[in-house]
Amino acid sequence: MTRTEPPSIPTWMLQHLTPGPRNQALAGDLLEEFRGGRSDGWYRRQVFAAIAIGCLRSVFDHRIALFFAATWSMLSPLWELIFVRLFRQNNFIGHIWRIPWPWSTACSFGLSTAEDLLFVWIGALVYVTLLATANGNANFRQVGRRFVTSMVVFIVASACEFALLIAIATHSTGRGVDLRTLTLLDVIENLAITHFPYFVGTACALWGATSKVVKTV
Amino acid sequence: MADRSYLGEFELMILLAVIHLGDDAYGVPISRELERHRDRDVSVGSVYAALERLETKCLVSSSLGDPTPERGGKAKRFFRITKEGLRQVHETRRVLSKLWLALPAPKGERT
Repeated sequence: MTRTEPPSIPTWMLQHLTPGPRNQALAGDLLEEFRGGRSDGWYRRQVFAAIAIGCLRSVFDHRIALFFAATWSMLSPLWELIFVRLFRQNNFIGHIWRIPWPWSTACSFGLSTAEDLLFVWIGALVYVTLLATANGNANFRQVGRRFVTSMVVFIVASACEFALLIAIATHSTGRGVDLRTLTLLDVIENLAITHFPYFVGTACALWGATSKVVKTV
Repeated sequence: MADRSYLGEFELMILLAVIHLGDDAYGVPISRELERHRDRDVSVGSVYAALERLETKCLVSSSLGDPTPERGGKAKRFFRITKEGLRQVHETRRVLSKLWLALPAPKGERT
């Protein structure tokens, strides 16, 4: 008996994980081939290949935005420094810690998140402005819509980073950082972890900044 | 600045398949044509990715056909080579033919 319906999980993945406007025609082609006698394994391989190719193409299309996000995230320590100095001048932290718990913790957390998000959003605005100046191909409205998404992504990434840092600290209890034995790899690893939320937050805000025009007849 | 860019191997194969298939050039027959000549599996996703690149370069154009039940109600996307696409295929053939003239025979074979 010839099967008429392909495996459901790969079909769902094809519908939801393949970026781009061509996925309907691609899904139809794969279904036609499957009903023509191709195996489940062939169908799965084709779906996974299509998703991988689609994702790589998407990353390639956004390479400039990703490069900017990586570079911008490297500037985050400078931003932190500016804020620390600003707060010290006004004794702001002292005022916050005089508020009764749990409001003091909530205020501190809110302030820190707002400061970080401001950095991410300034990065997005700088990028879109540079893009508009360079070639006029910038989508301000799309970036505006992405602000909320980038906020959620940033908070989730920060939580992951926090959990990872706690895990590392627990793992290395009793072993202080010895600068003499610190390798370049350690420094890169450390930088990658601490800059990760800024990178994903900025990249998420910039993802829709360049609108790609696809012609259809 | 030079305005010509030569086609990649896979892109050239796809353009030749599109030319060969004429009005019936969509994902499935293009992939089958490539599989037949290359003797190995072709990912339909990579065929579409290459066709998208070619369409961005205005070397092919596409149009949607009617949805059919054997495709789960999904329309076929037919591809056609453009004038510029045909010109580039000829240009690539001219350059490759010239280069192939200087190809030495494999060791042990007489020319």
